[in-house]
Amino acid sequence: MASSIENNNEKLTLKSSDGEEFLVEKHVALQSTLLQNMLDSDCSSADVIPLPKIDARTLALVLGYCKKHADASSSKQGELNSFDSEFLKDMDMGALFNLVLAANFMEIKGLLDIAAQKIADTIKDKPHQEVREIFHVENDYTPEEEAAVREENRWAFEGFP
Amino acid sequence: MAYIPTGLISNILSWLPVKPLLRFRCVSKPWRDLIDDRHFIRSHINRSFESKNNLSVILWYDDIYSLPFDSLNDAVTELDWPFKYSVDKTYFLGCCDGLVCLGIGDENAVIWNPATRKYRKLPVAPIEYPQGYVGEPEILFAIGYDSVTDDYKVVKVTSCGFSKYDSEVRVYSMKLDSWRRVEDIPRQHYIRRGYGRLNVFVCGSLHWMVSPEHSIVAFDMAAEEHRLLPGPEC
Repeated sequence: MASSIENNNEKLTLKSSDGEEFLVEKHVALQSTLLQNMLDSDCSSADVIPLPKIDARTLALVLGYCKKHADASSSKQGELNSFDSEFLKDMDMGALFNLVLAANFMEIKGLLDIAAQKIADTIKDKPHQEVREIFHVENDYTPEEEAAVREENRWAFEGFP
Repeated sequence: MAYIPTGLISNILSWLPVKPLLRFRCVSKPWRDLIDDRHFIRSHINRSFESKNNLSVILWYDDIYSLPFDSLNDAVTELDWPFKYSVDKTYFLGCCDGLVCLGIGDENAVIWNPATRKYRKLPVAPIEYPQGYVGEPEILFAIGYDSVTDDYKVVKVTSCGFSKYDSEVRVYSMKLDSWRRVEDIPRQHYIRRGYGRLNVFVCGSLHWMVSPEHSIVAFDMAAEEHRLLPGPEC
């Protein structure tokens, strides 16, 4: 795996939105398609790469995920799966949102998938009114319109307010 | 909490089972439009295949039952299919990507989505009887997917008497909500009605076994053409 990458010990510096700097091994950073593309172009690894949309807490989580997946790419998939589920366990919705945004921005498909799936699992048994609040969605239905849309699939609302 | 852009909302929602998706149409008009959008529906199907989430096995034995694919030891759930209490007999005619094709009586077909509980009764296609033909034709229906135009189609084969006449073939498009007549299947490849209920949709074509030497008629859903394949050696 890492043998194909020259200068495996090469490191680069990422800077979070709140100014914290993270020194990252290159093979770990390559889990991110965004960083890979930057490194493939003329961007020197000596530069500090600013990530103005990602705070230090989230970036630390993201890099923890990347390190595990970069180091374990030849080991068993089962081990990674249990790491993934443990990684997201007990994470609150705010942290999951930050994580999914960071994974999307940094183009880390595996992390994007597990974070999006975790959010879906968390909301799937919640009433739609609560989901509206979680996602800060403005309700643009009149009460009559909402009742009509609800009526189209009344059976799906059994047991829900 | 952070604002999640629409593209990511679509990604998150694509992991959900159908039932909460139907409820979340009530969140707002943009959410309803996203969930109803054909591209979203396609990505939801693809996600379900990829992740093996939301998959069911549909069983037919007098009644129709479903069983979650990821827990095959569970008890089956009996489904309420459309026209279940009609006097006409219902035939289970196959399924494709979660859409079930049912025959109601001899002439009517219904496309039914057990996950959304929605169905569409197809318009009755006319039959052009061969000259001089008197009798009850054998009609069979089957459903498949045309990936070229992203359309689900139902094929109707009408046979007027074994080996006497070619079989009339019509194709129904869900997108166009109409039937189109295509090239007949020649009489020597007559699909016996008993076999006709057993069809397999695979590799973009519907397949039926036909009587001589267990050969197979394949109907390409995109080209809307049939061809003959040699049967397996027994």
